[in-house]
Amino acid sequence: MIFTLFGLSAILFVLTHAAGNSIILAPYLAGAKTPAQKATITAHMTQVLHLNQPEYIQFIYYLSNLLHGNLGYTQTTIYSGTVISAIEIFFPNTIMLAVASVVISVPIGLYLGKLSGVRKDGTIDQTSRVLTFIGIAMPAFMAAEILILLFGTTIILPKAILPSYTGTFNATLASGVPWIQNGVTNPTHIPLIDALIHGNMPIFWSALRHLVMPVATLVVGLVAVVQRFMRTSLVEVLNLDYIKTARSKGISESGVINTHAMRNSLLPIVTVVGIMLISLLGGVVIVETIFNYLGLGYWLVTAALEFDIGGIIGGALMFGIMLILGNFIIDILYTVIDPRIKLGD
Amino acid sequence: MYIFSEEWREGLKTKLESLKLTLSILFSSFSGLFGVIIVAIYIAIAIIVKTDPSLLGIHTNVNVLIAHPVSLAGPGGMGYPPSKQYPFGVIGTPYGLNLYTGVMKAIPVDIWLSIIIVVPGGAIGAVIGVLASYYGGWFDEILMRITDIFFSIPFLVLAIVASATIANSTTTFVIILIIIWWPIYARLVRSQAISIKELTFIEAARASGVKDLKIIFKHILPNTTAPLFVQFSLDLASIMILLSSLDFIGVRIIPPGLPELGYLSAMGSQVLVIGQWWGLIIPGFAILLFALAMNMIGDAMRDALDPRLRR
Repeated sequence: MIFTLFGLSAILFVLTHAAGNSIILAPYLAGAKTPAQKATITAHMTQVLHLNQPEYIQFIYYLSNLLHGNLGYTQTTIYSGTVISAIEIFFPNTIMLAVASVVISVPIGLYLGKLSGVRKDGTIDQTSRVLTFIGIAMPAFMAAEILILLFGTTIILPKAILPSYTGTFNATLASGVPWIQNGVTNPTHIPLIDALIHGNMPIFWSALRHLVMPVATLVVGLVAVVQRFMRTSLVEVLNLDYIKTARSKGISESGVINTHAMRNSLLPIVTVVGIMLISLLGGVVIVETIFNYLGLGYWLVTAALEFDIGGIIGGALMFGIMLILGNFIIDILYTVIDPRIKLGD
Repeated sequence: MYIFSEEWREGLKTKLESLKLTLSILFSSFSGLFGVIIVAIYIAIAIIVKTDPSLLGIHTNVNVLIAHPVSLAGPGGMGYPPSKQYPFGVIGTPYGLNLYTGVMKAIPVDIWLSIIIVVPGGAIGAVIGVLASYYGGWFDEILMRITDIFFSIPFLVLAIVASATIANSTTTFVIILIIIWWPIYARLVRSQAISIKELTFIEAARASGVKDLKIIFKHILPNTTAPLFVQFSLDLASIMILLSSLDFIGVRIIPPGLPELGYLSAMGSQVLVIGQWWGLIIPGFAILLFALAMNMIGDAMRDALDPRLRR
């Protein structure tokens, strides 16, 4: 895991430093007006950021900065300040979105997968197979925009029932509320939870309504992945000998499926969480950007479009760390659930 | 001459028979047949647009998205919904874009980008994977660590970072995507090849003095192609979704003005809120249908190749 983290930071270093110094210096030159000012700032920052040193020295400085938690500054239209404080604000909201969509999609996916797997090639199976195919093939932005068309506009329904482009909660409710500063809620930075902590119901409902469409968009893709995996796994298990034994002992069909087959076919579902994680983190970037949801993905895309190097490195690093930690937890879960697997093999 | 020899004719016969078997399995399932037909239509459209676009009723430059910026704005700049005259509708002001020509022009661009990323990436990954599994040792160890690193960051995030920093042209961007795409194939082929290289026929080949490289490329690699093709078909779909998503969120990877389905969808999403639903649904559906067909082909191939699921 340490090696992977090192590799991740190395990739990001190569990507951000291979293009030359102009992109690294750009944020500092934003305030400079005359060419003379620019020259002074360039000379000064080249010294301070060690840009005149060879690349491997720069890499050592970069790594030491990462280890000290010194990630520099970000200056984008959605946030200006240190990268660390930006992560502190955006990360909890991304986690909120990710956790909510996983918690909703996994049970639905498992249930639909069970329905399909039990009656392979039946009507339910065929229908849900077509639906999961569509769920997997549908680009996240299309699912999001269809939801907006249905619920966020007055084109199909007479009234827009859900907010679409306004971020995490209705900002007009924030005026005069002491625990909201500059549109950021305290202490957890997740409006939904903070409103609950402070007992502010209007903001709570607003935050909940703002979560519905982003979460629903992610759920469409995730349910499809889980359903497909559950179905394959259950079909495989139902063909095994011990199921035949259970059936020949006279155990009822629901008993065979629920106590014998389901438990074993749930084992590989841990793998699917790993697969889900990649598609989830990719989807989060798209969904946050479309709904202007203040999370890591929206920040990363904004930083990339505005060539803000602090946001690019900080955002990408966080996504990498989430994936690495997620996979590490999955590896541990594996050994807990399936005693046949030993860590380190 | 070699090509008329008995051996060659025998080889051709076996190859044709195995191809016939593969195709019959693929076409025996509805989803496989559906997928192949849809993909064939897309490829036909792409070829026609690139050779003789007038056959499809396109009389403007196929490399430029909007040929008539103002003349097609429609009543009140609201465009036209899909109708007999404009089968896919028209996006109104500020684009004035006939979606039929837009989507048709975009299809070859999207398909070409997917192929040019997946095929070289897959080929490089397959070669590296099979070499690593055959030679093992430190080479294999280093390879697996490198793939670990590439798997530690979502592709979309890496692509966004690359597009903002070093990818200043479509060519560099494509090269970068190839570089981040090969590890999947390296792992896939390696996992297959590791079990194949222990089989008796490889041992026999080695015992009869066949050279290492010939064993690798003639005996091991061809036996890993089945899961490779499944992954190819799935990836052609995911690359198209990835590229169009990048274009949709504004991370432009192709020169402005060149038609691309994600860019068309982004245009459509801007006019969605004022009622022009077709601007998003039509290009989005073009992506969805291609990805659906590719997934169905991949799934049918997997079912056909997996004896545990065959009944």
